[in-house]
Amino acid sequence: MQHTIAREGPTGSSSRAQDDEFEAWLVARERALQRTAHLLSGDVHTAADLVQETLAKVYLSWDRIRDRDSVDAYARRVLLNEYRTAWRRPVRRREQVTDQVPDRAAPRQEYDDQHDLVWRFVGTLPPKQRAVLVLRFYEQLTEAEIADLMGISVGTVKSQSSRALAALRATLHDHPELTGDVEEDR
Amino acid sequence: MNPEDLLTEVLRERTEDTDYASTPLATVSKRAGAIRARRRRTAILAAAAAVAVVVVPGAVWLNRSPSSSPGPSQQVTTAPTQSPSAPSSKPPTVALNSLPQGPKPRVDYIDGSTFIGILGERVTLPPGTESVVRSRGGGLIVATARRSPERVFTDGTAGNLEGLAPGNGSTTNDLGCGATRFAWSVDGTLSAYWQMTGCDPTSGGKLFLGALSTMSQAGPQGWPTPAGEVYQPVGILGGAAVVVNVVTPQGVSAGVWVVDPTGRHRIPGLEAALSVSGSTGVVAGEQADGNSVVVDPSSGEVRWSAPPGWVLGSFSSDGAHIVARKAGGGVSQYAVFDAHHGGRLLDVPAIGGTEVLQTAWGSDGALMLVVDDHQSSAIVRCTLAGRLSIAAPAKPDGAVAHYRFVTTS
Repeated sequence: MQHTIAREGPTGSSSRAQDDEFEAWLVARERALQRTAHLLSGDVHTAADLVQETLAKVYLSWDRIRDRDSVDAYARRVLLNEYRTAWRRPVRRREQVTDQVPDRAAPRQEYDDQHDLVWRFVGTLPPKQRAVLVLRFYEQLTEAEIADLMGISVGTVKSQSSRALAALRATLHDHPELTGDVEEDR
Repeated sequence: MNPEDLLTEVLRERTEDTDYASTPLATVSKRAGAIRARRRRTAILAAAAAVAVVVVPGAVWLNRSPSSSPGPSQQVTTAPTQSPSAPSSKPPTVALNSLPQGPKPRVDYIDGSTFIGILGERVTLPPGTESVVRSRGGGLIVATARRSPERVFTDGTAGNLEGLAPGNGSTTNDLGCGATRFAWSVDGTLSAYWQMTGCDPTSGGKLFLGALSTMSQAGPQGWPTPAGEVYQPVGILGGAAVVVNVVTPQGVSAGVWVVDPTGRHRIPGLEAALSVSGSTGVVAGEQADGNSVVVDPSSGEVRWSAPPGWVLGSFSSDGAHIVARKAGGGVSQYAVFDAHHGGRLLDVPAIGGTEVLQTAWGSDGALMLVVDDHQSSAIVRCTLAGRLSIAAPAKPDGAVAHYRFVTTS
């Protein structure tokens, strides 16, 4: 699936009609973007920043989006790019000439319940695996749609999803006191 | 319920239980204006730089004409402990696609998921590789970010240490948990790493130092480190002393220490070590007030201080130069300083539309830069005369930058 943005880049001033049209889309779709950003980033503050940057870029491209039906897909793609950029920031911190900040170690964790365990597990996943899981199991996108959105192959989507789920099963297996009703094999 | 359904339920529950603030159109418009201005600024700078490159084809000279460019040995004599003045107010900006192709990187680096050694060896790395060090017989030790709750630091950078057999990455040997940072001696024959006891950062561990072959299970027993302290090797002084940043498991600095077979001593006045010069025996570090300094590790005596805002990085292999970074205005500025006296020798030109993710010193004495435009990354060589060239062509990024250097000191 290809979006129909003609090209990236700054646009001229948006017309009043376009602003109204954009605002209508904003009201209708911002919440969905916020939810996805929250699941990707793990916290609402980072999510808010990701979404604002995404909205601004969609706004800049608004007059060149010929097919309004593709706006959601375009916005989601921008959001994923912003997420990827944001995720690289820790790498930048590590790789700046200041070198790494000292490691911080976490004490052994306690979990409130099975859902807490799963949510914290999601937070430990590498970003690509996390994005694949969110798009697959929250957004309910197909593997092909995810591959197109993330610019990766379907095989990579499958492998990333498979690894993440295997790790989730292992995590659940390690906490039998929380996971009584989970079918481990599927 | 199977794990897939459970995952869906948890994700939905997490978002349904959260209130999200709406973004007014005015906020979107304002942010869009800032993006537009940023893009214009970048485009103008890159266009101007492209013109400059046409005038001096094949080379980009920095603040000097080619005939007057200094050699690597040129040093600015500046009194110790003084902040030297800048050679210019702003470095020039060039366009990445205008740079000439140059020699390959003279440094170990990661190309996608492949380790490429300075001698041309290639090793496929496991997913999540954070850092790499050479090991026995051409194999590697890698630190991977295994994200299980028991094995992860709160900043997400620590993880498993795994041994990779020579020649490929298909055979791995789990060495346990430890800090992801390794240290090398200046001649590349010694290395150090820290391994925690039982993958529990509160239980202490062992600091290993030795010939690279010791980076395997056949190595020495290591020096025990106290419970409640996490060791981050930064560099190696002389033949048997390791400079480490020590932090508590909660991440609070416990100072910079020099550890050797006779014991350990703290370097006075330093909150964190940034890099070590094995050649000249000095340590670059950060004081409690955030200032970067170069100190004598035995006494803590400050040899010189970086100008305000500049953060020191790694020393060149001969210890004569040190790279530094200054953040500001959303773009970081890089420069090379005389490591002996602190004179600012070179402003690294900015490359339009990119940011520098990482720096490393090549064996040819040039500074290597991983530059990234948020879509792709490339490795650029910057000579001490200020000449830029492409060392590895731009390739699309994945979840992380395509290129990374593996050395940190």
